[in-house]
Amino acid sequence: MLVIRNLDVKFNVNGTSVHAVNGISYDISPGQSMGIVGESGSGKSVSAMAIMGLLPSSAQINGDIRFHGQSLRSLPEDHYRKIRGKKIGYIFQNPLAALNPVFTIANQMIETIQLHHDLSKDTARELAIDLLNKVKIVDAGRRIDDYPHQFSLGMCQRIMIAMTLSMKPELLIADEPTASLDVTTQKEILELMDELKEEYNMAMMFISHDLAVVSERCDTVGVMHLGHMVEMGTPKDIFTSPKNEYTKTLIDAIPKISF
Amino acid sequence: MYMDPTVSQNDLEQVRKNLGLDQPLLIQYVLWLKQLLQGNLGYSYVTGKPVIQAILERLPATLLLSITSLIMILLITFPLGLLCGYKKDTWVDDSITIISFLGLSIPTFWLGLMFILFFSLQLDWFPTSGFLDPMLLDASWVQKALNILTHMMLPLLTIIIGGVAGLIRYNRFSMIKILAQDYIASARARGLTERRILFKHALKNALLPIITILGLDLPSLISGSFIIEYIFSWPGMGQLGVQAVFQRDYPILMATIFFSSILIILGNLLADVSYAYADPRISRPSNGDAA
Amino acid sequence: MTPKLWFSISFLGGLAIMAILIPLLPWDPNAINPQAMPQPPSWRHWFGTDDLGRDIFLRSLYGARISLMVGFVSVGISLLIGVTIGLLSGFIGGLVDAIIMRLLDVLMALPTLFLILMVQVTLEPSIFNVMVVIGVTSWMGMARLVRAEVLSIKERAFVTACRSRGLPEKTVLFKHILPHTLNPVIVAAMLGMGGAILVESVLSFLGLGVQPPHASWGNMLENSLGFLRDAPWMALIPGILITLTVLSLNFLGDGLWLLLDPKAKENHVSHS
Repeated sequence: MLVIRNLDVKFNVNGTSVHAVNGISYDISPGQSMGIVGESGSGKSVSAMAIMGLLPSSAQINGDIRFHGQSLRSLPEDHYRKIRGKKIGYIFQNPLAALNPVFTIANQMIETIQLHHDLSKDTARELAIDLLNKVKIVDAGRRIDDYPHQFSLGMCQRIMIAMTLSMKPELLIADEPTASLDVTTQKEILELMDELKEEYNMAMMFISHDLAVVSERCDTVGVMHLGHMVEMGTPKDIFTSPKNEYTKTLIDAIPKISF
Repeated sequence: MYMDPTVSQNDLEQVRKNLGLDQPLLIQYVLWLKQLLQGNLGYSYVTGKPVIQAILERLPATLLLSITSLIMILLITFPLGLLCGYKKDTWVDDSITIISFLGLSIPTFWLGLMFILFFSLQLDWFPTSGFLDPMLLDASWVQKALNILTHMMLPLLTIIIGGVAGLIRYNRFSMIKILAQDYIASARARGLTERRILFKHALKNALLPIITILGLDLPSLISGSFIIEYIFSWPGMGQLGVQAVFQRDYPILMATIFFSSILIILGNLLADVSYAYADPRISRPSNGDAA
Repeated sequence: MTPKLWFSISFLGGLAIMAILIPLLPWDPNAINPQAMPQPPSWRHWFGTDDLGRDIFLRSLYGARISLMVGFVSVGISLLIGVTIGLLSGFIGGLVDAIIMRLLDVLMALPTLFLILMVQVTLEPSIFNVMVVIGVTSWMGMARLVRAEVLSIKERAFVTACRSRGLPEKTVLFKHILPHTLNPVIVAAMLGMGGAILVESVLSFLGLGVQPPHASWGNMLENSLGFLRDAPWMALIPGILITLTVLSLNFLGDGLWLLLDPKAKENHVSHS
């Protein structure tokens, strides 16, 4: 479904060239979940943004990005827009920042729903409330008229998930979705995402710095370091026989609790 | 103070005593405050008429000019600043930036003079000064209004250019910051059109800082309009004040400063209240829910 | 080095050099030529002459001396006051800071130009009190800037390190914190110079600044009023000079800001 070949992204920052993504390749099949692990600066977010076509115009992109066989890089903007959200969804790291602070949740969700479906405002609102219930927002019917800052971070992420789900994308890219959350909330959100992935039969690209979290739920794991994909395989393979030095350090870095 | 040189020394002393000018400056100021609190603004040294009357006569003209220019400034700065921030570093942005710098650097009184030179004297499109053609005193409502409008064009233009130049940089800057926010990227990622993102999501957020900046800029806008009123002989409070400066008419002066400070404070208050109303983070504080 | 910066530095540099050197030449800018009429710019008189036959180019250079001097001195004064108050307010904090800030709010809400007019009318207008008055009424913005910088620097590790070495508070403030506050101050100073020059021109235009026959761009403009129709160059030239000078200062200030403030680049640098 999604085929990446030799994706290469360079930025020109103040005269120096930054090689953010250095020739990475991977495939994602329908319903599959792929995890991408790496530290800050490894290029994982940049590569995801490249797939969405949301990199600034100063970025130089090379390589092949194909979705259902169609090359995304050569798509004109209005076609690309139809893919964003509807086919490929994106969840951001900081959920509060990803919501517009001056509009209500209702306003933002209804806007998204009406963009992708031909529904009246009232029907869209009902759908939004349903989705909020699905992601376990309490008292959704009333709270939908609140503003983002009136929710906790965990709830904001649920709202983001609900909003993305309203578009029923085939592929969901989650960029460090739980990095801003505390540990208990993190667990809840991850469980929620697992349930929904099953229910909606979405493919997922899970980006994280946390190898453990990724390995728990992904079919394939790719390790990125300084723009390169240094290793790729099933979680079992990676853990039992890591081939790359960097992968080994990542594995070692996972705190082991023993008594 | 203007005085008749034939007035005798004794009479002079008497006048001084009457006006309370023989007291030290501080006492005079306290006396003025006391009178102010009683609603008495004193009498003009020059005309002898009550100051409050002079001020009230002039207030409408000043308000007309100030409020119109404020609205026009907002209407012009906002879209231009948005445009600049959106098309950052393109030729559109660069040229508008240079023009705004120019607008900031031109002395406003000279700009006013140049407008008079060009549009009035050379082209004869607008009258050089004043408020209403004295020959139209009996004319119809509409005719009068139109005439006032032509008189207002040049001073309005002068104020607007300075005001826009000052504000547009801030607006552009806040627009750039807004466009870099996650919620904009998130909106894009959901497939929203650029138009909707700009005109709905970015715009409302950009409204907030401009209200604050306008409030902060108010004192200089008002000071500047005084000089412009003077240059164009626009019969407002500013012109009254500048004339009073030259005539050393202190009661008028004190009252002018007082009123303009009030206008400024009111303006700031309005800005604060509007901001609190417009920004939901202030109007509806978070109630700290659990996850 | 953008074209804007090139222009600014060349213009200001050239102007300053000419302004400094001009008194060395024997020509008197105030020399009246009794039978002269205003003449348009020509090879003999590069900027033309005014109604009293005085060469405008020469008077413009003398006017430049005034403007540049006013710029420097008034900004110097407002720097002195503003930086000191900003440093103290930010450093001492607490009640002192709160009081000073409220005072600043009040002062900044006053129509300063108008107040300056009042002061000038009460005193004998001269270039000296123009500079002092402008300096004394424009330090507030500077103080705010410095205070903000001090507040953010105060909490940094190196300040605590200084204290733990037992350095007296005064040294910590002036020797260690002060240098770091200077970035926005330099920029504000450049912009402040432009502002000061504009204010001086208004004052001289109204007769409350530099008194004739001494040339100042402002009073040259006042002089040109009666000749707007017949000798427009008398009004055009001083105004253009003021505009270009202030423009150059603004460009410089803006350029310096981009240079000095690391956050000013406003680049989108994507995260990993």
